[in-house]
Amino acid sequence: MSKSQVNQIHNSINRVVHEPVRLAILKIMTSAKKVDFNFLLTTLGLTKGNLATHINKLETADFIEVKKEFRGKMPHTSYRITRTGRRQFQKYWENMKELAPE
Amino acid sequence: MSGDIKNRKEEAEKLNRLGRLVDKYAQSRALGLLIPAVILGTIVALIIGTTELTDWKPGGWWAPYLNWGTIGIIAGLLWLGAKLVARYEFSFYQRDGKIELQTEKIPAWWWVAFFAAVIGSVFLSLSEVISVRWALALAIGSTGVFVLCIGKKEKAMPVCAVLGSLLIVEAVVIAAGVPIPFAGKEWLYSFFLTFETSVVGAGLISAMVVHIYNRRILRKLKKMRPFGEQEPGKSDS
Repeated sequence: MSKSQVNQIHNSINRVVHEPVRLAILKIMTSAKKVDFNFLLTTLGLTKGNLATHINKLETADFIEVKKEFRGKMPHTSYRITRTGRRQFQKYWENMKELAPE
Repeated sequence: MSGDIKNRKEEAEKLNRLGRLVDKYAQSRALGLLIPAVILGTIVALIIGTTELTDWKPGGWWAPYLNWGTIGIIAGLLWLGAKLVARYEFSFYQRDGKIELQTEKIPAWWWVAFFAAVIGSVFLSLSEVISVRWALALAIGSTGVFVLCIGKKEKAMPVCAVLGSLLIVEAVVIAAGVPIPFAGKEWLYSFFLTFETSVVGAGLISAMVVHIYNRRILRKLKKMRPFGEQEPGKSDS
C-alpha cells in the first residue's frame, strides 16, 4: 500500500470512534438491543463522569440514542446504537484492517 | 506510523477480548430462570396436593370443583409466571446494570417439532404404543435438544447448554431404567409430575451453575479493566 493510500485511510478514520473508550462502548452496543448506564459502568470500570462525557460525544455525533425514563421515582437511562453508529463502527474496523492486515 | 498501527492493533485485540467477555457475561445472567422454576415447583406441589386430597376422600361432591379449580390456578400461575419473567427477569442484576441482547427469531418449525415430540410421546404412551418411561425419556430428551438449539438464537448459550445437557442426561437415565419418582400414580400424574420435576430440578441446577460462572466472568472483567481502575475526581481527558 502506498504512503498516500495510507494517509487517505488515516484521514478517513472517524475521530469520534477512534478513541478507545468510545470504541469499547460501541463494541458493547453492537451486540445489544439496549444497554443501561450501570451496565457500561460495571463492564468498563470508568467513573460516572468519564463515561457520561464519552456517551455525550457519541450522542452528539448521532452514533447512539439515549432514552430517559422513570422507574417509579428513580430515573433510568438506556442507550442503543443508531444505524449511523453501527455503520461508522464497521467502517472503522474495515479501515483498521486495511491499515494493519493480519 | 507503524508504531501507531502496532499500538492500535494491540488495542483492537484488547477490545475484542473485552467484547467477548462482555458477551459471555451478558449471556450468562441466569437467575431469571428461578422465576419459572418456582412457578413450576408450585404447580407440582399443587398437583400433588390435589391428588392426595382426592385419594384421601374419593368421590366427594367437591372433587370436580377441586379439579377445575386446580386447572384454573395452574393457568393463572402460568400467566403470572410469564408476566413476572417479563418484568423481573433482569431485576436480579440491577446493581450490575441491564443489557438487552439482540436475539434472533426462533423458526416456527422448531417450535412445531418440539411440541410434536412432546405431545406425540404423550399420545404414543396413552395409546399404549410405548411405556410411560419411554414417553418421559422422549419428552424430556426433546425438551433438552430444543433448549440446546435455542441457546444461540436467544443469546443465552451458557444456561441453555447446561440446562439442555442436563435434560438429555435425565432422559438417558430414565430410559436406562432408574425408578420414576411418581410411578404408580395415575398416568397423567406420573408423566407430568416427573416431567415437571425433572425440568424444575435441571432449571434450578443450571441457574446456580451459570450464576457462579457469571460471577467468575464479572471478576475477570473487573481484573481486565482495559482503561484502568478510575477514581472520581481524576482528569478524564
